Amino acid sequence: MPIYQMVLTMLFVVNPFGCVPIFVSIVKDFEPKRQRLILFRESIFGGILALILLWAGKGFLQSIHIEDYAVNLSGGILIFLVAIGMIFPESHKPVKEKNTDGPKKEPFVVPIATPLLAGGGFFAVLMNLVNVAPMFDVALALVITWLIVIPVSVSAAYLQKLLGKRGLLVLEQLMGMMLTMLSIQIILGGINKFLDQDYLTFANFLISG
Amino acid sequence: MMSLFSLTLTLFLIMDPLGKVKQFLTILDGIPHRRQRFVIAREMLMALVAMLVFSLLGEYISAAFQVNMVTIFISAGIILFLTAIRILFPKQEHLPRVPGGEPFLVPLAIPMIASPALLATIMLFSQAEPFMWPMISSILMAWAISSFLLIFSRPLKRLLTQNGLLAIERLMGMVLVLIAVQRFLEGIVLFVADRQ
Repeated sequence: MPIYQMVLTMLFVVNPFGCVPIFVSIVKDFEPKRQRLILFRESIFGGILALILLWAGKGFLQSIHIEDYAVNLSGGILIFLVAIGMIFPESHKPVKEKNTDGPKKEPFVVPIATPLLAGGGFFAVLMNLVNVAPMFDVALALVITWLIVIPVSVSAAYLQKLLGKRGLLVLEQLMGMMLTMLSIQIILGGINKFLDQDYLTFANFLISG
Repeated sequence: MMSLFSLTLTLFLIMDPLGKVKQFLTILDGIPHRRQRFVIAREMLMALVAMLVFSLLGEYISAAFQVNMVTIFISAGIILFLTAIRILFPKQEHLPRVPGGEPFLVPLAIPMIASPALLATIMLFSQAEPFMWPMISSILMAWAISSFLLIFSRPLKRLLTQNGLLAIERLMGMVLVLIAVQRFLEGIVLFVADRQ
């Protein structure tokens, strides 16, 4: 498979353009400068994580006996929780309680880097690509994809100015709804894979082996 | 059922020493450094006792409460899942409330290291495993590595920095969610297979 095709596939799955409104709602409570920093940092983290997954993901998951439907379901559940938090934001008291140092309320690794950017779906695609193309090409395609993902994510910080406060609140609700749907779809995909398996064999493996 | 390596790795991940370094240091704050190491070693030993008890007596405990394998699989999954969710979406600094002074048994040994999630998993694996020794040795190995890391939590924090630790904590949270969902689904598989 040629590299540009892999890049397109990855871009389609990571879907940075679709994620931008979601990112806007997640980081909206921070200063614009801080937002850019957060988004830049998180997308770099996502890229690093994707590279690690590409290199060691399969072996790691196999060695702790995690099937791929569990990957789908976990990613789906986490995205679902993020989405519910967007639709029903908890207590609108001022978030400016900065009594603690360090990045705490700030999104850190979760949920932007993973599961939104480098999530279960992306992992599944990486695994498929490794089967059809040499590892190095996939890694190269991944890096190229991320060169597109990073500026697109950071642009979320500028989108906020365009939308204004009210626009942001509306956007958050809408994106929460879309994200809920996305998460349910991922979960259903996982359930599908789960139902396809052979129960009796797996049950025997679990109990005695 | 699982290889020794898988067992050890799974138990180590659920013990999650790297994700707990920060909390350990917060709890031990104010105790002289040399004493801290002693306290950590002592607490780890207590945790080990709890783990071994549940590994050896798990079968009798579940018989006494009349719970079957399906139940243990699913409940282990749920407890682990909720633990992981608290790591991933922290509400506030939720350090367990304890009587002041030096920690003794609570909260370091139980519930931080020998957490309900870990003990349930140990109970589960010990019953699923046909032999006792792989389970005992994997507990010992995972415990030894965790103890080593926690005893050196101060230099570890300096090495990884605050943010590094936080990133590891979050990633471990993701892994724990995966393990939790997998356990839960395995419980469902057993449930369905029992009915068939």
